[in-house]
Order: sequence, then C-alpha cells, then structure tokens
Amino acid sequence: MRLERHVHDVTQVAFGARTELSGGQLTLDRERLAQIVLADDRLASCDIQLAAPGESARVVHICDTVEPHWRTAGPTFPGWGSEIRSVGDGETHRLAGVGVTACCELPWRKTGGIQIPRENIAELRGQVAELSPLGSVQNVVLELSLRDGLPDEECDRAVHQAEMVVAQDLARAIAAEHTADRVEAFELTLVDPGLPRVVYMAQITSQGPFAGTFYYGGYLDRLMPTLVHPNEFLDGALVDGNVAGPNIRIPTIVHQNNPVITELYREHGRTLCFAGVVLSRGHYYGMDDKHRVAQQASKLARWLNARGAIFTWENAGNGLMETMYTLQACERMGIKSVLITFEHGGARGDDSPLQFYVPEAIAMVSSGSMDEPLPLPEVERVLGGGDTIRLNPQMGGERVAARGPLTLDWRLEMYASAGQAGQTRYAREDY
Amino acid sequence: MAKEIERTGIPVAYVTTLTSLAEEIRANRIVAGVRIPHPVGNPVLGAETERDLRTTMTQRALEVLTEPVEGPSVFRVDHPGVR
Repeated sequence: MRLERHVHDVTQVAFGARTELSGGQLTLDRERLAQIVLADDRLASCDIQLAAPGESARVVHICDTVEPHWRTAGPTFPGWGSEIRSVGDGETHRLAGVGVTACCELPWRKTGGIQIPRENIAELRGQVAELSPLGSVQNVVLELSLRDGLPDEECDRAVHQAEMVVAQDLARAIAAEHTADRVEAFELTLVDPGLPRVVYMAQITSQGPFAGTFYYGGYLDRLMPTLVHPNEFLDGALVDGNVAGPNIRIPTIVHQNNPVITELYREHGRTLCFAGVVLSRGHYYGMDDKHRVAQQASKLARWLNARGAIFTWENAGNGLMETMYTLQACERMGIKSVLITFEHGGARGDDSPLQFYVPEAIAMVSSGSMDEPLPLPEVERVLGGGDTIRLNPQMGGERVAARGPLTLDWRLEMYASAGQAGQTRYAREDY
Repeated sequence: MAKEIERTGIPVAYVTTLTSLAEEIRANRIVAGVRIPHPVGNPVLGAETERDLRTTMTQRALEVLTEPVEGPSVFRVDHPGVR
C-alpha cells in the first residue's frame, strides 16, 4: 500500500473568476463554490470568507477544518456522498497550507450532557493563534446556516459534507492544471528486521451527533479496537465531528497530517520499524467495556510484534481510563509505552493533571494545559457567521459580542488547543 | 464527599460505575454501579425488572454499610440487570 501525495504549496488565497494556483496564490470562485455547497438542500445559506494567519481576526462557530485533497483514482473522502472504497494508496493531490473550515451555529436543544455543540473559537493573530490549526494555514471559511427542523444527525452530516465538497473541488481543479511542487510517498516498506517495531495507539472519541468521529462516513461509536493503515489517516478516512469538545478534539486536518504518523514514517527504516496503527474509541460507559477495549487494543499491538507504543487520546474525562488500561496491558506484555496528553490541572495548573493513571504510566509527554484561561483581545474581523457567540449552555445560553475583548472562564472553547495529537508546540514546565 | 463523611464517623457506601477511581481515592465501601449514565438503573430492562434492580442496588448498598472492611473494597450486585 503506497500513497503518493502530490503537494501543491499555497501561501496566499484570493477570490477570482476561476480556481487556479499560480506562484503560491490560490484563487477561487466564491459564487460557484457557494452554489455547489447549496446543492445540498439541508443547508439554507453559504457565504465564503478568506483570512490569512496574522490578521486581526477570530473564527467562531467552527465545526471542523479539512485540507483540500483529491484522489486521482477516486473516491475522495469516501462515505461523504461517494462510494466507500479504502483510501491510502495511489495518488492524492493535497493543497498544503490551506484549511477549509465549516462554521455554523448548530442547534442547542438541551442544556447539559455530552452532545451539546459548543462554541469553537480560533484566533488568527498572536501567540494564541499557534494553538489551533487555523493559525498556520490560509483560511477558506464557510459560513453556513441550516434549514430549520433537521434532526441532529442531519445537521452534523450537512456541515461536514459542505467542507468535503469544497475541499475536493479545490484540489481537483488544481490537480488538473498545476504541477505539484513535490511528491511525498508513504509506504510501510520492508526494513531491517533488527529495528525495533513501534505501533501508534490512536484513541479517538465518538458519541454520536456533535461528539463523533467518522470513519468512511460512519460514526465510530461502537468501535472495538482495530488495525488501520497509517495511510488511511493521511488520506482522509477519518473526519472529526467533536464540536462538543472544542479544546480536546482532533480536527480532520490534524488527522490528515497526524504528526505522530508522519514522524514514525520519517524514522521508518532508520531508527525503527513503523508497525502500524491501532485505532480505538474511549469513553465507554462501563468498566467491563473499558477492559474489553484495553485487552483488544493491546492484543493487536502484540500481534504486530511491537516493542514500543506511542499513545494519543481524544476528549477528556473517563476516556483516559481506556488509554491507561491499554498502556498498562502493553507494558505488562513488555511493550514500552509513551503517552502524549494534555494536563487537566485547573486554571493555575496546581491540581492533579490526570484524572486517572496506572503505575505503568512512567513516560508521558505533556501537550500543555486544557484549562488555563486565555484573554482574547478585541479583533477587527469575525468570521464564521454573525457577530455574537453563545456561551454557557447550562445557563440557557448567553450571547456575547464575538469581537471581544473576551475573558473566558477556561480554555474549553479554544479550538483544538489541548494538542491531543501532539500537533502544537505547547507543553508545561515541571515545577 | 465519601471520605469527608466517613471522617465524621458515619460509614459510607459509594455506588459508582468507575470503581477504579473510587479505589484510587481510597473510598472504603464501593458498590459497583451499572453504567456511567445510569449507575443504579438500566433503561434496557422492562419497567418492572428495572424497579427490582433499583431496589436490589439500594438494599445492597445498605447491607454493605455494616460489612467490616480493611481499606478499599468493591462489592458487586447480583442481579440479571447488571451487565
């Protein structure tokens, strides 16, 4: 299974008469793109905005971000209005340096529980911008609104369908007429059998609409741990819908460029042998389920003859138990295990950083605090639709001006800021 | 809360699904619950069986209060609605 990604580098975006890429500038046709999005009658409106990193701007109501991809042999983003066929081999064109972000105020039908679509915010200027993927890409922002009366799952699917449609339309147009700047190949080639085999243990969360992860278009809510080829991550098999956990989610663009996978590939054949990926879902509701996940995931790691394992997890709360039990089971089989995790030690970082741990968890990498509040300055532009955001669903929802300045209670609303796949450059210091 | 109440001399039976967390904080009498969203019930059962499950869970918690323990101990509830 060999994936060749033909990379087209983008350093600027602008509106124009047609989609083209010249000298790093991606031009796109605003009206036409909006029209193809609105071919989906679940959507009532679509406006498209552009923004560059460093602008005095804030993006709100974020549902997800995707990197434009086009698979020459198709289908691209299978399961999203297209036939379901495995991805991860063949030729894929990617527009690097661009993110297509779907924004929409999703309906609030309740005031508590896990599946509330919360406000997801990203900054484009200042140090805080580094915390989200939007701070380092040229942004194509879809401001969407939904038709009234749709069930939650249709709302959830419609906003993701829109980003997929735009992302593949852009990449297809560029692939047809632009020569790629470079080609990156991903293949688990046979290597020196003496190299230590390392597996990536990727735990995601999936709990239905607004709190799900999609795999080929389907929710992974009942996933038992399974083997997945790393190329499937890099080629758009996983789509993130966890708007309920803004800071503790792994957006699609991060799955497509998962730094653990790209780094394991870089070392493959040099210092280690990349043995594969075990994909699992955490946050099950019973202890038996948690142990079932741990036993199955660690068993797969052993079948891969892994000597080492790198763990990441998504979401917060009791999902850490599946991760920790799996890590424990791996260590007991002699598989050296390392966990990348955020810290949940409160606003000042002085509380216990992990809600649950096992004695075997002795090697961990911190990706920073998920709690510490960040003062957000007043900005010139707000993208995402409308000029207010909604906070505190438990209080029935409170509208505040999106331009700021904003002082949020903690980091909950900051999109992807806990760096759960290790994609940020943040960490905490020992003290 | 369980620990603070015990510190005043009142025994506590702590019904929770996440028994490992209860052991970690060193609660003494831990009664294993059904699922995180419904620790003392189970909505997949019929109304009558569920009522019976709830009664059994509560009775077990009361019994456990007088069980002698030395350190964190997990008590299971024997009922077909617990799975």
